[in-house]
Amino acid sequence: MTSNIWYTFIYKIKNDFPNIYIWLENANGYYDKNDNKFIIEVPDAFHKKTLDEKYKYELISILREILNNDEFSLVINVKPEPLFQTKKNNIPKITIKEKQITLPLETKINYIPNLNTAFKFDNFIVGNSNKFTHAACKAVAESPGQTYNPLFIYGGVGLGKTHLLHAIGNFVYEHNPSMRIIITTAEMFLSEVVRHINEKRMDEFKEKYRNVDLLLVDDIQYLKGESTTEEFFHTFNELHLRNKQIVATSDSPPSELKLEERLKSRFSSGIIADIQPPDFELRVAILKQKAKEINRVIPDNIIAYIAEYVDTNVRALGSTFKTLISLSDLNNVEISMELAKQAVKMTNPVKEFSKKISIDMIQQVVAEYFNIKVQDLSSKKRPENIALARQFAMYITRSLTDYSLVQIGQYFGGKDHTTVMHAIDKIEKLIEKNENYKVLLNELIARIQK
Amino acid sequence: MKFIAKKSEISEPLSISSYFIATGSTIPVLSNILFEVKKDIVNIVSTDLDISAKIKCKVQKIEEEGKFALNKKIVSTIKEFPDADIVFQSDKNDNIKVTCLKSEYKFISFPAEEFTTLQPEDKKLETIKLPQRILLNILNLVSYAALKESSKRNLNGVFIKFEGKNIEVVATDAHRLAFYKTEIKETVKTKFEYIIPLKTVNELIKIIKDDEEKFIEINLYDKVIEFKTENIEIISRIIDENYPNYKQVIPKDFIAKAIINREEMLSAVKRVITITSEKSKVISLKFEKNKLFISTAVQDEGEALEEIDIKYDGDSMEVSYNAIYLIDVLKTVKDDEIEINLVSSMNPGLIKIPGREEFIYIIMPIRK
Repeated sequence: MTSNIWYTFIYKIKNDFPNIYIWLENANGYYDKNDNKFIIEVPDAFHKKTLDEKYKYELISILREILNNDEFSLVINVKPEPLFQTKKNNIPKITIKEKQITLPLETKINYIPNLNTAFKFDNFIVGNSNKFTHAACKAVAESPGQTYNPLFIYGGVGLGKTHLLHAIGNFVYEHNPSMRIIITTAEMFLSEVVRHINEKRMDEFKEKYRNVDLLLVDDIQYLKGESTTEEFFHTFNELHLRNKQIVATSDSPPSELKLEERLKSRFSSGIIADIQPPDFELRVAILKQKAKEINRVIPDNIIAYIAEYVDTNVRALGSTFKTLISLSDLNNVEISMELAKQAVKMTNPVKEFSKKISIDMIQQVVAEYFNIKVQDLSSKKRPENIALARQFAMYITRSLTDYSLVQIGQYFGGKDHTTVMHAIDKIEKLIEKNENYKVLLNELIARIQK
Repeated sequence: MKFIAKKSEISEPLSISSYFIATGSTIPVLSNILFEVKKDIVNIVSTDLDISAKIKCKVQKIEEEGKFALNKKIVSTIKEFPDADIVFQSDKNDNIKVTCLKSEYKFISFPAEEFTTLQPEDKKLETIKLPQRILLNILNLVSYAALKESSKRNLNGVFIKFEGKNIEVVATDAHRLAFYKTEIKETVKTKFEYIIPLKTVNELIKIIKDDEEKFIEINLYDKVIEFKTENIEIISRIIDENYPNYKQVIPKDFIAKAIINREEMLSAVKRVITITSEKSKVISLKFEKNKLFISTAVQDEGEALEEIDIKYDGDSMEVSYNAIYLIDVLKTVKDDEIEINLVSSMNPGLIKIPGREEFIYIIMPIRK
């Protein structure tokens, strides 16, 4: 009975807690009913110490289950040396090493990349802001691993990083289908690592990633977790060593990433290409391309209007464009300026509003209100009423538009940005102190917005 | 809600549905069983979100429709009821009163709206209809060889391939591999490959009948597979992984072949296994001219030796196997004779039915 409990116990430990099992391999144990004690005998004091200090709690909880008893105490003893060696123990034990041979099963790894076929070089529109990156990507796609390795692309949201990444993948896959390509995101990479660790299949994971010819990783800034970063690091080294192409994208340059130094420096070892927000010409070209893709003719002035107001990123441009088309289709009306304004408002509400307010207009309204000339605002004149009007105009410009302090200074007769800061500071204090100024400010803003 | 069912009508469906309940799930509603009381039928639904079952249950009388979820304890309660009419009735607080003769039980019901089950995707790829006996036979022939633990996810299931009129099934735990191929009457348009989780396979084996006349409908989706019989609908997730290349490990060339009476060998192995060590279950097969010796020896404990007459005229050869792997296959196939093909004590052995190719069992030896 006693030994039965011991065997059940040791069996459970062996299966579920291999880390504890190594300490119990040469141990023996029994349950002493009279004292309500479970005694484990271990060969030496070192084993006793480890078990006592590290694993006692776990051992008790396992035993509790087996003994069905909550009250017992666990005692770990060093096994007393037997006085006389029994004869049996003197016979050297012959252990036959039996080994179950395993089938050499091989799981095919899918290298068919999960590419979005809509993203190609053909439909990527090149302008000043992305010329360099586009060229670098094209060069990489044409001879992967030969030119720029690793290639690191960074830029803000919706500027085409993912488009270029998929375009490289698509290009390579089209021209050389036997190339082993993996396209992933840092987040997917992480969950894949975690899953393979849980299933104890890291070797499979390593085999998959370290045998690719082209590794494309999107949004590398999300790479985190010790084992994930480490795995990525080793993958990176292995691939780089064998001249396999690596391309990564991120929202910021490698130096600003929250990653380990060794990874950052590796990304910096190749080519770093950035994508800037598209300029006006590029925005127009993109809109024209989008119109061409769906065979629609859109008047140039409307395209120019959208391109002017939607200046953040390509994705916003696309969504405004789509909104415009669906507005026209759903309501069954021609595309007009009115419709374009509506579309811009729907997709970029804040932007559209703030852009409409020009500095000229603010200056005009403020000058009119203070009964001074518009030019006076940009002059160096410093009578109190003009200075106050100027400061109000600066404050309003700063709060209603996206202009920088420097730009505002420029508009007001080439003043320094500290002057603008001072103006803003002053007005803030004024409206805080005096209710009348607040009313005045609101009145001015209301007039401007009209 | 009110309905009356005979114990015989509801007890079995309930115990079937209890196979599919999640054990130790963090979503409390999943340890419940959902009852959908419709105009003429009561649907009993249970799920662990990897597999879900809906059992259609005809009952004596339905007085009022309704929908409620009850704790799985109801299964054991009903099982212990006497063989009589059982009345299910909801009160004004939506709690369920279950009465049977002089027993009266009240269950706090769980809101039915919170009960989630596995849903098939919108796009059904293909439907296959098979006699239940065929599917049962297919699964029985291979499922025991699948990996029991989920440590390697892609092996913890039965691989099934539909191609034209052919169905191929494979299961392996990397120490042995069972393969079976058969033809069906229907043709599938495209090739489909699935790994069905072992749990689903085991539940299916319990449910489907060894019947040529009764059919089962298999609906194939991208990520789930659905099995529909007359009164049970099972939806199971599939294992979304690649299956190993099993064709590559099926050996082609052998140097010796033995034909053995299956039952004789099975009973001999069953006797020998009683002596084997708890841990390894290893037995030796020694082939000599028209004789097979099955033996084992455990130090300090004992030995076993069995002799069987077989058909064999190759050189004398000795191989060691895990006895369980042999028993598994010997008790599954139903033919009188089996054929063992061998190369050496280190190479895989191949077991099949003499003269037939549709069933193959590969067993890896134990190196001594």
